[in-house]
Amino acid sequence: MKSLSDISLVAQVAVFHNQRAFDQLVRKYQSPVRRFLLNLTLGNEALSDDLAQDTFIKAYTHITQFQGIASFQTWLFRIAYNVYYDYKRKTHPQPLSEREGSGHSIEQGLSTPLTYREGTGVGLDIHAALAILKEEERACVTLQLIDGYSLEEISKMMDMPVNTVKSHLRRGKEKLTTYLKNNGYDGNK
Amino acid sequence: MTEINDQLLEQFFQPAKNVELEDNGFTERVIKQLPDRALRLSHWWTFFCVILGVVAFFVFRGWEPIMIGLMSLLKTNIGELHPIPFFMTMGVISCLAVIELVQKLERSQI
Repeated sequence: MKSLSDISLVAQVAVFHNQRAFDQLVRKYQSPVRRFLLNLTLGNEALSDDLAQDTFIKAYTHITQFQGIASFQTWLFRIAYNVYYDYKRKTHPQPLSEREGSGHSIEQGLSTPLTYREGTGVGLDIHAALAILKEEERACVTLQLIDGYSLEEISKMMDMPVNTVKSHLRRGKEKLTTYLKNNGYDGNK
Repeated sequence: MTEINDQLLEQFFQPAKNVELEDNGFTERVIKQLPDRALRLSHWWTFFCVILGVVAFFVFRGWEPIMIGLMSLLKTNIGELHPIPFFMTMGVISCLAVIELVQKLERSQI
């Protein structure tokens, strides 16, 4: 039912350029998309909102390319990841896969407004922990452990084979487990 | 190889799950930034109509009735309404009114 109403709204946007229908789609999906980008940017709220805005504008201008095979949310997340990937490529020409997470400063994330963390009780530890991961590992871990997507969905969103997603997840989880244990996190915090 | 502790990771990320971010005007900002396709289409439509009008003017020798009209106007008394320039003026006004109406209809679809 959810996807049916999404398809109906998408059709109205694609055929009639109906901005009211698109308004409904943005309201519905702004939170997951912004949260995903907020985690990728390690809590940089201003940057993640700019990237989320670009994501929705791209979705609007390329709405006819949505084929309805995957869900609209999966399609949006794929655009969001591409927008983030393009941003990182522009700002850091080094390929994402060759870049260690530590290169992306934790301080950058911590120095930005903390609405997300304050409002939700999410501690600084989550973004600090995500900062030790490579970009692709962070995206995979975020999508699985925070947003609850399956391997197949993550594979579609990031446009990479399922086995590659598995590898990123395994490496990311290993690093995180070590990090948490080294920092005395035992799950009873 | 480090052992992965899935339960530990699940617990660690639990607070970040299902967090709803308030809209706080985000949607409005997105909608304001959307490219205005309807307005662009109406501009193209106007441009197309103008080009069509100019081509029709030369193909159908539009200057001839204008010249006839002007000559007739000069020959007739000032203040008397001559039919040719009168109908031409009405035609131009009607075309402009139709173009404006089409533009308004396109804008109202947004």
